[in-house]
Order: sequence, then structure tokens, then C-alpha cells
Amino acid sequence: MTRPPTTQSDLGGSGYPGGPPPRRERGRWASRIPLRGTKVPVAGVDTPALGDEHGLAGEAKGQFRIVAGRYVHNRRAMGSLIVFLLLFLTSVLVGWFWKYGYAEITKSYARATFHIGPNGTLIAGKSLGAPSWDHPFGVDPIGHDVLAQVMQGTKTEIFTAVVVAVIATLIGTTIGALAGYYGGWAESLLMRFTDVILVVPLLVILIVLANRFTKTASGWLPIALVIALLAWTYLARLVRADFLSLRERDFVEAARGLGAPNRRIIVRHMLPNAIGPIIVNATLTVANAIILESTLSFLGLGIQPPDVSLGQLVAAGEGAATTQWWLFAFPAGFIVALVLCVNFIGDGLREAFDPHAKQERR
Amino acid sequence: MLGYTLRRLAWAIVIMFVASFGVFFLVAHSGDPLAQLRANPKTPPQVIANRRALLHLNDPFLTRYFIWLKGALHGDFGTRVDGNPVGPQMWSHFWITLRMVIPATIISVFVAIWLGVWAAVRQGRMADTLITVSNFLLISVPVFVIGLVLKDFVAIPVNKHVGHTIFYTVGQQSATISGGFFSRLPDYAAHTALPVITLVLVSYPLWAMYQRSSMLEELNRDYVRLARAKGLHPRRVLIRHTLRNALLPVTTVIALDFAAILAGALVTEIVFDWSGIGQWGFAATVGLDFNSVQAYLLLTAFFVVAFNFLADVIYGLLDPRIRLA
Repeated sequence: MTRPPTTQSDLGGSGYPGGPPPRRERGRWASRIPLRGTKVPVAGVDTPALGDEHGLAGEAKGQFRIVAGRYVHNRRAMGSLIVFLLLFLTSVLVGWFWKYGYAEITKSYARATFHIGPNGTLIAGKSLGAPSWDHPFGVDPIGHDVLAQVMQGTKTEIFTAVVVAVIATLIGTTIGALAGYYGGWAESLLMRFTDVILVVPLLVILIVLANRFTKTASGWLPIALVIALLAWTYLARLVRADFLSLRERDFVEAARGLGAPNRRIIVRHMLPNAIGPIIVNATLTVANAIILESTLSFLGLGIQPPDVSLGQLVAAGEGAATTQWWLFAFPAGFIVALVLCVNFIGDGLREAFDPHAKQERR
Repeated sequence: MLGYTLRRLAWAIVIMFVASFGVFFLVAHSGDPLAQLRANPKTPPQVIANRRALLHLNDPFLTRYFIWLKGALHGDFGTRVDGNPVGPQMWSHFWITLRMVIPATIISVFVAIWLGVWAAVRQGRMADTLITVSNFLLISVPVFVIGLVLKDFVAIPVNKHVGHTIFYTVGQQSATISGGFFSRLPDYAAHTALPVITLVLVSYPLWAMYQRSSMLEELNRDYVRLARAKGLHPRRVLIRHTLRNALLPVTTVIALDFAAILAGALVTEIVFDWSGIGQWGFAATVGLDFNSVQAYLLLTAFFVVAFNFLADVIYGLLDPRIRLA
């Protein structure tokens, strides 16, 4: 595609000469992002010809569309996305419309049956409370409907993981970007801080923190915050490395030469170029958060009753996993399904953002 | 090289100190460690006062930290809330954990390298697809689910089918064990098998993924094509030329992943009821036994830092570009 070497949108004009503004494109070609609002006097630059801008908008696709196009053609990733959304939708719908609530105690309950064998020994019979039309996932020994509980747990797990991913991504990106952009003592300080957090396994610090803060708290938000406050370290290192190399690129120098403030260079010029790994990592953080939260709940330090999480249900069903299999199999299966979907989505995004990552033998 | 190593070591030590302070701060503010003692109304106030003095609870926070630090540097990890010294207990539990972690790490490394190489060589074929999908599946299963599935749906049916216990699912050894080391060995093995398999299944998939991609990268290089063109035996090209270079990034990943193995061991120990360091540390955390938690975290941190340092040194040794940079 050919275009005149300088247009106003390249150098930072402050408005569009009438008509609808052209669709702004961000991403790999960050120099194309109009520096709207920067007061840079640019002498001798004509306003861009409207026709040219429109021609471009028709020809070039934004990074988002390119990535989405690649993603849609990845069958495994697309399938995982659909399954994940279906799981989420089902968990919400079951919460609204299912005849039993997750905390409701129904009339039936799970129990073992015995009969007396020929020489007076007790022989274990079939357990009652197995999955049926009335209770598709069975009931537990107290009388809770397992379908309602598993769906509530799934919902909780997704909310927790998404909140963790959003917060951890914000923290990790900020710290990594600042360290990578400014370098020097700021970088040393921030990265050593990251090292200090990395020095003890995440699960172990989480156990100490959860024991202190969330054992008495209710709901999923406190535990999500605790996980989020520690789960950003890997992303911070990644973003820092990206920013270190982006810092040396010409477009950054150009923006700096035009007087763009540091904040603007970081947010509008460098960040769009590092967005791929950040989004992929955010997805993987969702998967990690589900595993961490369910592990904490399994250990009794995560989400506390009466709130329900999948790890907690697995812990409750563990004792009778062979005879009352539905108490273990459904919550455990849903954890695995959720994490697997998210991992496949992350892998699909990675390939969509960076097709070269998919190595082919020559 | 020496300067590079020393610089890394100096940072590692500083990080350890800062981390130990952070940990002490967290644990010291976690609650009343003597709550259990106070819960019994018959405990004489003098006993509580003595225990407070023994645990230095009357001193201000910073003093307590320095007392602890001084002790820890001399190998004395202080007193448990119940009045016993921390050190001996910690080492005996740690030894039990090593019985699980060392075999698991060694097996995982070999499984990961073998599967990774195999998947890379057969890229796009059945074997590759199977290995890749199973890797994805395994990294998506939490440790406790793998442990419970092995325990309830593998060990118990197998034991029932055979008629006697092949796999023990509880504890690290039988309570009634006696005799010399070699007569105990079968009992140890029967207890260790399942936890080790659990740890292997959670550790190897990620490493195998790294091995596969690093192998693919090396296989595309010109020297591999040259070696083949010269007429070297394909296996020799694969093992002596390609794998040697492909192992480099994986070595560091494995060393850096040691923290994950320790966390995995914690959950595995709880599932299989091993009295290893992880379960000990977990019980100490829940019971607010601050000196034990402190010792556990310090020990864990020490190994993580040591393995990080090792990764740096290995990388520096293997790749001159790193140490010269």
C-alpha cells in the first residue's frame, strides 16, 4: 500500500478536516495512531486528502481484525471458546432457572446402603442419591442438589479467575512497562521486588495470606484480590523484556522527538505493540487462577461455606469418591474442562497474534 | 564469568534477606499463636507467660525478627508454639519430602525430554498430536485431582483386583515397619509409587512442551541439514547434534520450575497423607506456629534461590553470549 510520506495523522494533528473521521488503527503500525491532543506545532504539513484516508481504511485491516480472523480459523481454539461460553451461560442459567438452589436442602440425600451377607457380614450395596432425572448430577449426603452446586461453583470460579486476570494484568503491565521504559534504578527496584515475590512458590505464599485474610471473609472477591496481588510477576517480566526492545525502535524515538510525553509514548505507542503477549498471558492467568483458587478451596483456605467453589466440592466428595462417584467426578470434571478450554483459547490467541510461533519443519 | 556469578550470588542473598523479612512480617501479624493454649481455661497464667517469654512474644517486632534471623543464620530455627525446637522436626520432614521429590524430578526430566523430542521429530503426525493434546490435558488438571483420581480410581481397584495391597494410598511408610533399610525398601516403594506418579504427571507436560518447541527450532537450523547431508546417521544427528543444543533452554526452565515442584509436593503430601515438609508447613500455617512457618518458607526460598542461581550458572557455562553480555 502506498501513501504519502507524511500526513497529519502520522505526525499528530488535532482533528479531522470535516467528514467522518477515518477508522483509527492501532497495533503493529503504531506510528499510524493519530497523536490527538498533543500540541506539536507541525509546520508545512498539509491536511491529509480525505480520499486517501478512506482508501486506506478500505484496504488495511486493523490488528484486531487480522488477529480475530486468524483465531476464527483455528478450530481447536474456536471450539474451546464456544465450550467455555456455553459453560458460563449454563452456570448462569442454572442459577436462575433450575428448580433447586445451590444452598437448598432437598428431600433426597446420598447414603450408602448395606445388606447382611450369608455369614453375617455387612456387604455394601448401591449408594442412594445417584444422578437421576430429578437430580441430573445426584445429591450429596446433606441433600444439596449437586447440579446446582457445581454450576454455582463454576460461576464463582469464572468470576474469580477473570477478576484475578484483569487485576494481575493491570499490575503486571504497569510494573513491566515502567521498568522496561525507564530502566535504571526504577527498573532495578521494580524487578528486584518481583524477584522477592517469586522467591517462594505462589501457592505457599497464598496459603499464608489466605490463612490470614480470607478464612473469615465471605464471598469470592477477597480471595480473588489476594491471588491477583501475587499473580502478576511473570507478566511483569514479559512486558519489561518487550518494552526494553521496543524502546529502541524508531517510532518511539520519532514520538519522543515530536515531544510526546512519556505517558503517551508508553500507553499509545508502545503498549499496542506489546498487546499480543499481554492478552495471551492474561488468558493463561485465568487458567492459573482457576487452578490456584480450586487448590486453596480444596485445602479449606479458599472460598468458605455457605459460598460454593469447585475445589471445595471436590474436597467434600473426596471421602466417598468410589461409591458416590458423582460427588467427586462432576466438580473435578468441571475444573478440568474450564482450565482446558482456557488453555486452548490462550494457545489459539498466541498463534493468532504471532503466526510464526507455530513452528513448521522446513 | 566469576564476576557474573558473584553478582548473581550477591543478588540472591539480598533477595533472601528481603524475602525473609517480608515473610516474618506476614506471619507475625497473622493472629495469636497461643490461642490454642488459651482456649483451655485451666491453663495457668504462668504457663502462658513462660511460653510468651520462650517465643520472644513480649519483644517488639523488629527485635523478634533479629533474634530469629540471628538464630536462623546459626542453624537454630527457634521454638515451636508447643515448646519444642523447630530444627530437628523440619529436617526429618524435609527428608521425607525428598524421598518423593527427587525420584519424581528425575523421572519427569527423562519423560519430558523423551516425549518432547519424539513429538518434535514426528511433528504433525499422530504421535505429536497425542503428546501435545495429552500435555494440554495434564497441565489443565490440578494436582489434587490427579492425586485423588490415582488414589480412588487406580490404586483401590488395582489392589482389590489383585487381592493384596500393591499401592498404599496413605502415609509414607507403614507404621509397623521394622528391619534394615533393604527389608524396608519394598514398603517404601509401595508407599512412594503413587505420589511420585502424581508429581511426575503434573511436572513433565510443561517441560515436554518446551522441549518440543526448542527441538523444533534446532531441527530447522542449517547445521542439522549439513550434518544430514554429510551422511551422518540420523540418530546421531538427532542426539549428538540437535538434542545437545535443544537441551539448553529446557535445562533452565526445569531449574526455574523447582518452585512449582515444591508447591506440587505440598498438595501431593496432603492428598496422600505424607508427613513431609509441605504438610508440616501447611499445618504450621493453619495453627499459626510462626517459627515453623518461617522455617518452612525459608527452606523453600533457599531451594528456589539456589536453583535459580544454578540455572544462571548453567546457562552462563553453556552459552558464552550470556556471561559476556
